[in-house]
Amino acid sequence: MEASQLSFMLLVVPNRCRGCGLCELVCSILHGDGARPSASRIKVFKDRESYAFKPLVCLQCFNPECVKVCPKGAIYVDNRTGAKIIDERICDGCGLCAEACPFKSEDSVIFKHPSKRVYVKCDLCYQREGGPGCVDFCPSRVLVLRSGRV
Amino acid sequence: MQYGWIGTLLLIDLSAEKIKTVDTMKYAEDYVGGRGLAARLAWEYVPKEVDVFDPENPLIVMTGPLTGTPAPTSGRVVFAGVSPRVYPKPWYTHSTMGGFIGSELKYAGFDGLIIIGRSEKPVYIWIKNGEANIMPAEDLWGLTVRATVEKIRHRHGRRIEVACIGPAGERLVRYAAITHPPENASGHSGFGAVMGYKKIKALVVQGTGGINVAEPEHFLATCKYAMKLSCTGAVDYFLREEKGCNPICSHSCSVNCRIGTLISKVPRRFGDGEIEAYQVFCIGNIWVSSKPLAKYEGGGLRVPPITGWKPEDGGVELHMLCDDLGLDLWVLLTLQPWLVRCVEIGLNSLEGLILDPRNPIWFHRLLENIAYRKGLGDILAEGLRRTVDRLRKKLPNELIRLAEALEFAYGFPAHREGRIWDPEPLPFWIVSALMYATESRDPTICTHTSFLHLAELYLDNKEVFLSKLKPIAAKLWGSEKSIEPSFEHKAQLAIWCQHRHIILDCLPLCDFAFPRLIKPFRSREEWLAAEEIYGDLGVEAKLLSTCTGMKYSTEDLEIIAERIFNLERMILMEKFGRNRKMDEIVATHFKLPCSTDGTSITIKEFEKLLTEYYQARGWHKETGKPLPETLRRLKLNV
Repeated sequence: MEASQLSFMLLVVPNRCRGCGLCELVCSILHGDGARPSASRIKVFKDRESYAFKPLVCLQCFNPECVKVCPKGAIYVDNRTGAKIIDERICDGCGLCAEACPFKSEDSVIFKHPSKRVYVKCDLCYQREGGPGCVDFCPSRVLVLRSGRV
Repeated sequence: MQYGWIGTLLLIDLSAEKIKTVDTMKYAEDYVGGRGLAARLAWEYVPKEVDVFDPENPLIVMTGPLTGTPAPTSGRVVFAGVSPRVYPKPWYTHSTMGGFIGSELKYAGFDGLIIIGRSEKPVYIWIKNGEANIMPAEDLWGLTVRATVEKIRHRHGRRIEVACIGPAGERLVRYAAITHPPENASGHSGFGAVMGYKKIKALVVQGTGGINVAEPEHFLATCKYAMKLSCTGAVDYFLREEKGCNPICSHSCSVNCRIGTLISKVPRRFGDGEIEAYQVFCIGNIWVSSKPLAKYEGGGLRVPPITGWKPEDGGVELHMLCDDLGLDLWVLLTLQPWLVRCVEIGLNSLEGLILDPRNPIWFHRLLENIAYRKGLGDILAEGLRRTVDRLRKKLPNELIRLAEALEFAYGFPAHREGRIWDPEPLPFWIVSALMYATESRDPTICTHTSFLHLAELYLDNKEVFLSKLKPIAAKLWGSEKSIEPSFEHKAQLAIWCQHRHIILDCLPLCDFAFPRLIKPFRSREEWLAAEEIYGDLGVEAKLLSTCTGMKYSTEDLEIIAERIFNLERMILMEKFGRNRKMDEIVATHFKLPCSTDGTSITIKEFEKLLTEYYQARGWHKETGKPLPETLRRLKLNV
C-alpha cells in the first residue's frame, strides 16, 4: 500500500441503533442479492429482549490480514476509498480471509455468500455515487463514514 | 423471475398431517397480499357458518409483496380466520402485527400459511429454508410465552423468529393473542385461541433466502423518498427527528415514532436521551403511564379513568404479564374501568371474588385467573359482553350498559369513536362510526394517519384546518362539505379511509406512517404558515410497482381495495349471515354525546347515513349486499 493513502472506514455510534435492519436490506439490494439479510455485508446483532442492537461492520483495517493471507490475491485495495474488496472472479472460497480476520465472530464481517461459492465483505459501496448505502439509509444516524490517511 | 412475492404459500393440514404448497401468483395480481390475499383464500377455505372452534376454521397467516424489503414500515404480517372475539356470533375477520416474523417467513421461502385441521397433540410448526415440519410440542404446552421462546431458542438457535401462544391461547380465552416476543402481538381478534384450539403452540421460522426486487435503483430511491415523507404522524403530528431515537416495533421501520415497544422495566434512554423506553403507547404500554387515562361521562354513563400505575408500582409488570400470558393488552382498557365502576356503585364482589381493581397485585392475580380460566377469570375470559350476558340477572342495568358501550363494536373495544377513547370531534367520529358499521372488527386501529389522527390538527385550530383541507376534500371526497362538522357527504370519506386502510394491510405498511395525505411539518408554526399541505398518496403504488415490476397506479390500488372490501362483505354476508340489521347495531353507541364537542346522532339519522353509504358503495339499500353490477365492475366472481 502506498504511503499517505486516503482510506475510509465506517464508525458505529454506540447506543443509537434501533434494530430496524434497513442497512442490511439496502446493502444486499445494492450488491445484487435482493432484500436478503443473510447476504448483507453489514450485520446487525439484534437482541430484542434486552434492546441491544449493534451493527457489525468491516473496519477496513490499515494493515489488513485478509489481504495478506489470500492465496489467490483476490482481495485488493480500492485506490479511491481504501476499501478492501474481494474480487469474486478470483476468489475460490477457501475462507482463509475470514479465518484471518482479527474481528471474526459468529456474525463475521467476512463470510461465505449464502448461495455463491465465494466469500464476501463490505466494499464501502465504492462504486456508488452517494457512498455506502447503509450510511445513506440509516434512519437513526448510527453509521458515520470517516476518512484518514494511512 | 418472481419479484416482491416469493410465489409459494404453504397449506398445512394438521388433521391429515400433510403439507402442500399453493401458488401465490394465482391471486396476487388482483388481491396483492396480506389482508387481500387472505380474504381471497378465506372465500375458498372458510366453510359456511363454520364455528370458530372447528377444525375446518382455517388460520391464515399472510405477508405482502413489500414484507421483508426496505420499504419503510413494511415488516408486517396479517392473520385471518373466524375470530372468537366477535360478539354475539364469531365471523371472519383479520388482525395485523409488526415485528420480524413476516420477513423471516419470506426469507424461508413462503408468502404465507393456510393452516387447516386440528392436531390431536400439541405441535409447533418449524419452517426453515423451503421446508416445513409439524413438530411435537408436548414439552412446550403449558409454558408462558417467554419460557416457550427460550426453550425453542435452545433447540433451534438464536437466529429464529417465533410467534407463539401462552396459557391464554391454550385455554381458548376469546382475546388470546398470538405473541411475537418480546412485544409484538396480534391480539384484537383473539387468534391465539384459534391456535390453541388447533393445538399449535408456536410458529418457528428461519430463512436465509431473499426477495428479488424488480427495479433496485428506483425502488431504493422510492424507499428513501417514502422515509422522508413518513417521518411524522405517529402520536405527535410534528417532526421528532431531532428528539432522539425511539424504539421500533417492526422490520424496516424508519419512523421515529413513539409507538415503539416496551423493553425493560428499568427506565432507559435511547439515542440522544430524550425518551424513556417505558413511556410508549399501544404496542408498548398504555398501562405504564402514571397518569389516569380516559374517562367519560355522558348519556347516563360513567367510565371511570383507568388507574395509572407508575412503573415502580407494578404498571410494567402488568404489561409484561399480558405479553407473557398471551393476552390482548387492550382488554385491560375495558376491564379495569368496568370493574372500578362495579366498586364505585357498591358491587364489591363478583362470583365470590372481592373486587379490588385499583390494586396492581390484585389485578395481576386476576389476569392470571383469566389466562388459566379460574373462578371469575373463567367468565371474564369470554370477554365483557359475554360476561354481562352470563351475569345479567346479578348486575345492575348501568353495568350492563357500560359493558355494551366499552365493547360496542361486535365485542371489540371502543377506540377512536369520540366517546370513551381519543378526542374525535365531528366530522371525525361520524367517519369512524360508518367504518365501524360496515367492517368486521374495530377498523380504527389501522386507520390512524388516513384521517382519524387529523383530529389533532382540527382541535388545534379549526379554521386553519378547514381552510387547508377543503381543496383536498373537494378533490378526494367529492365535496368540501365532507370535512365540515356535519353529517353531510361523509360516505365518500369513510369509503376512502377504508380503501386506504386495505391498501396498507395488503402491501403491508404501517398505518401510523401512511397514507401521506399531508406532508410532514417540522412544527406547529410551519403547519399554520404552510400554503401547500398535500403529501403524496401515490407513494404506495410507486413502492409496489418498483418492487414487483408490475405497474400499479394509485387508481389501480383503490380498485383492488374496493374489490377486497366487497369480497370481505360477501364472506360476511354469504357465510355468516351479516345484514343491514347487524350493521346498525353500532348506531346505539353514537347516541352517546361525543366527549369533545357533545355531538351525537339519532338512530334515524344514522340509518339515513348508512343508506347513503350503501348507495355510494353500490350495495342494496335494504339488505346491504353488493349489487350484481358492483361485483361485475370489480371483476369479483363470487
